[in-house]
Amino acid sequence: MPVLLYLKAFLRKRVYLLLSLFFAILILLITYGLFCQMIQSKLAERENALRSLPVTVVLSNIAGTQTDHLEIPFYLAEYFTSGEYSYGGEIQPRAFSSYVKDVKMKTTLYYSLPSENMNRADTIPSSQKLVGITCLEADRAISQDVIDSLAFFSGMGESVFETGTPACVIPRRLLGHSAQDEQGRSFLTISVQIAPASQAATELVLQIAGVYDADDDRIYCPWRVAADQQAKLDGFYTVDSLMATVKDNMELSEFQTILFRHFAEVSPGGKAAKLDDSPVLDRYQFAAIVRDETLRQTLKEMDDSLQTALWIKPLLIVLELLVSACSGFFFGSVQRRDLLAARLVGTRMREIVWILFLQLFAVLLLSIIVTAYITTLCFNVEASHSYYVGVGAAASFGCLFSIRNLRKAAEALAARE
Amino acid sequence: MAKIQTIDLNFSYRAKHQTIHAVKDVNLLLEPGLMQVIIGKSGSGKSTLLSLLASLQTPEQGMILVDDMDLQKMDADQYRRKRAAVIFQAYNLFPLLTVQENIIYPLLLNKIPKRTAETQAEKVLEQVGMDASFLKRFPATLSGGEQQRVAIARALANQTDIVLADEPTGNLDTKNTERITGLLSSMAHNQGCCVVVVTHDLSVAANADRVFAMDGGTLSGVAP
Repeated sequence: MPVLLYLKAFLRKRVYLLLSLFFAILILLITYGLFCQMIQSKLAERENALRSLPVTVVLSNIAGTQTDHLEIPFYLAEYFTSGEYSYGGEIQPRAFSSYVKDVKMKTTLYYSLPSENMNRADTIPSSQKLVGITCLEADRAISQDVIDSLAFFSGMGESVFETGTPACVIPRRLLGHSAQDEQGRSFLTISVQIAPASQAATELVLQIAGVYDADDDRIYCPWRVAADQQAKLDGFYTVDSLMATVKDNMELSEFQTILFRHFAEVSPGGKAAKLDDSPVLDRYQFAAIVRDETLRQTLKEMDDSLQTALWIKPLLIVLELLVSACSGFFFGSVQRRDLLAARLVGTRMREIVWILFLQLFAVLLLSIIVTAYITTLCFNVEASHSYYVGVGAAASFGCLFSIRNLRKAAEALAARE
Repeated sequence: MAKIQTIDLNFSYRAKHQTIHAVKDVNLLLEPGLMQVIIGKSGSGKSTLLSLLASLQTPEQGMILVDDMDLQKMDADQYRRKRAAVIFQAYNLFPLLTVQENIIYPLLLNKIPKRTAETQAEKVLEQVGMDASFLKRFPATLSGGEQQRVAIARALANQTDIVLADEPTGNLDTKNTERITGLLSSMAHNQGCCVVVVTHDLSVAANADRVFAMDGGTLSGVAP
């Protein structure tokens, strides 16, 4: 009963003190809440960066210095395209290709126009390149002039390179060598060879999908078509260059383990990482360069920033604890005379502790409730409440710590008087 | 009607490098119905003796008997709550509570219903010469004499049979000193309380029924 009487009086007379304490705790709790939110946001940004920043794998020569004209044999290229993957004589649970997407390949053959076409005035030199690509980016030798002047015919587009359709993109001046069918589609008949001096040749009819105006004689066709022609002439196909994007960066490490079973590991700068263990390199014909510098750099910066933030977090908790303890002590010290008077009229120590505890508990509880409400409402925080529990625990510990000190102080005061 | 007796009472304060023997072998008998004054110079141990009698400190040696019962074996809080009212120079009222709340506080501790306690507060306030208009005022708005009278009213309301006052007139003018002395004397003579006043004010001692003199922690004289 006297406890309630005193509490009522305290709330009535010490309203500014209570409000000050309340707002001090409130500000601390909100600071802590926002800090936790910031960390959550940083973690989300990191996750997003990890998922969205592209990491590419490029095959190169064993030294890592050349990424084109490699003549990668079909069995190595098929790791990236086949739906099955066997290693050590056993079919693996996941296909090698399941780790990558957007596989870009290029295969080069040579073509010449049939002899009747050669009688035209605009003579095309024999043995020009027929380049099979999976997309325009697959051939880094395509000039910007070619790309800028490229015009696809109606119903055709770059996606034609992803298919096995016998189609092609040609220099405009070769249009004169084309023929048209009843539906108005243009076709070009060419003779395909493995090499310029090769005797073996095969005739290929390609639908013209588009033309370009640059000073170039190359014909671009879908990679699959070129690979089939090469296989037809040579018994197998090879790939000049191969590049792929990692499907899920979270699996990068797992993928690298598998990747480096078949390819030597070289740095993006072209230096063999295992050069000291050079006997190992003898097993490999080619190397793989994982281009993840941007991802690594971005993650490093984010991790550094997150690391700093994570260091601040316990400091903030300690600060809150100290402020709670100091507030509690201050709270008690302003009540020195009250506590002394209470002792002199025979209030039991436990009743005094109750008075203090109830006051502080009420303030802390109110602060936590208001903070939770404000942060949830204004800052759209997920209701995980994990940090409220943390803050509550810290504040309660501070409160108990204060009361322990207050009890000592009250006893000391009473004794001294 | 409480009687207090001290037997070979000793108490020391221990500072860092020294021990101050504040009370040495004090033997005295404090009787009910009398206003008894303990006088002495500063540092003579009289305030320490009073805090021992109030059970705010525990004797090192010797014992205090209240109605022949050892004070150390009693519940100290209950003793101050029901038997002994303590009045200090610094008034010791709750600054946050009104005069009425200050008076009823110990009554509520003793489980007396609030309504009864409030009626009692009004009655005792009249006894100390203060009307009902003071009931809702706060200690900070009262003079020193008024605050001390409220402290006495609190003791009166609680109907304790022991009143222990340490320099109750230390901050007061002559008129208020006389009034407070009169009230304490009246508590002894009319209510039968055992009133013990520690003071160095000889005018208070002049109104006492018995005077104990202390010097260097020991009892140096009793009169009459």
